[in-house]
Amino acid sequence: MRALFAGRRGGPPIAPGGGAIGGLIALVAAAMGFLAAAAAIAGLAAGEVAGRWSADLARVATVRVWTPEADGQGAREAAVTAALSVLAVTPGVAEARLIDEAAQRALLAPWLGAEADVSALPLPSLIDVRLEGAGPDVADVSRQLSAAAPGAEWDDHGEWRGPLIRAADRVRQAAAAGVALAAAALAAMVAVAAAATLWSGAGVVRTLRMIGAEDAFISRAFAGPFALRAALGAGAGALAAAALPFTLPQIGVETGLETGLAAGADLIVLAPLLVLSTALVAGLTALAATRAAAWLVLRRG
Amino acid sequence: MIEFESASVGYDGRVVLADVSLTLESGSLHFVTGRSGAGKTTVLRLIYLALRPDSGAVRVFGRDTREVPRREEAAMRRRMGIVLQDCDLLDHMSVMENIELPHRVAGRQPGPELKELAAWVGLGKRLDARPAQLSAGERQRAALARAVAASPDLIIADEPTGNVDAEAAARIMSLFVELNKLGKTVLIATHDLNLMRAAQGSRARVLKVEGGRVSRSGTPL
Repeated sequence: MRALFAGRRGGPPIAPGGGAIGGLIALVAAAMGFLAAAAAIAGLAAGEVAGRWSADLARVATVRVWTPEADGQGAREAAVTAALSVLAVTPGVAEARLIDEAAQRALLAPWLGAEADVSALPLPSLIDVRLEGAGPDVADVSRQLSAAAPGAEWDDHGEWRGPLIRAADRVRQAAAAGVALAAAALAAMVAVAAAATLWSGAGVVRTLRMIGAEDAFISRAFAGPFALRAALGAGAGALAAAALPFTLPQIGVETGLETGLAAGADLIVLAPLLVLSTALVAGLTALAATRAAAWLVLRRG
Repeated sequence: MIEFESASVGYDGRVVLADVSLTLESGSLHFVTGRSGAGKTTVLRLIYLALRPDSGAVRVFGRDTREVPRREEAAMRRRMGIVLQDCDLLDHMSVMENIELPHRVAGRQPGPELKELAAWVGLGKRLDARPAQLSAGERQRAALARAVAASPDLIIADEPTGNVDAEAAARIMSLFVELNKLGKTVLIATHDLNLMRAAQGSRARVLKVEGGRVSRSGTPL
């Protein structure tokens, strides 16, 4: 495999080593490999977080029970009790629990302050519902709730999940675009470097032609070493990017700020695949770019 | 093997060869002579397909060069061994690796006979040397060894002794003569009279390029 990439067949490389240009290609490939792998990791992390959040939201629902202020506390409690009774016999509902005033205050504390008098606000009573299996038939449970407590509303958090999923999709698309742009930038850089090397190596090209080398042979001779350098550089860059999550502070679930970038068992499995695939894509990209540049240069020469 | 039929070619509006007709038989040894700029190299370039005639025809190995597509040039050149004045050895390769190059280009495994070839040109003990470590004469002999490594039908040399001393030139010339005796067709462009004298006693003929014209089959040396 190395012999193939080095453009040799049972002998030393036919094209000169590349010198500074070869080193430059490795450096650019390393930078592009880092960016592409970082974008891929970010895209995967976004998908992971959005998926987790969405799954969490899909396992819970909230019932809001509105009662007119004028009807008083008794009517409010009666409506809540009716709603809880419906939920208690609804298939797909594992548990339904009234969120008491203290818990409501805690939920609103970040916005209103811990000392706010929640009872003075026109808030609905909230019932936290844990779902099981595929959950209840939403239309059916909504109808039954309305019948038992006219001010009760079923909220399955679809309003939150939709934008979350769409946002995660956008992040994934942006990551894919980042990977594609990095590959395109690498291809352009390698093509320019290959063309420059072919021009500067006109003597080698002339010699190879004099002894009957086909253009395809010449382009292979130059493309191999470039592809090898691009693959090694991009692999090193991807390795650095894959190592990055392991150096980040581990932000846990308890903080409510999970990033999806935490280094876990998944990433340990994923990292070698990411490095290898980045190196492979970079190598093949460089191979194609060099051969395209060689084709253009040799046709003119 | 090679035939020019009323071939004319020029550069930048200047006619270099005009209405040249000549025939080189297989197994012949010819010198192409003439003053500097007379068109000696042009004759060779027309043969090794670096140039096509503006008019007339040049036939090599029985094929009209104007009808040889670019993709088939390489295959035709593999039947030739070309030695140029500046040798064109690949500097990053050793002598032996340079000599093996035609085999690699042709996709063949180099055999042990190439070491014998290197010894034959007097480089048996310089196989691992880089071109920069060789004298001008040694470089030229390495280039000659590379040119004949794949056993070509036709050997073309353009001022092969331009950069070497008289003794080295005589040695190189003796190698060309030996190759010709082995049945190879040899064509050497030179303005070096000493080189031609070194071929005395061979069946070499001289094609003189003068005023854009070349004698049809040459005159005996």
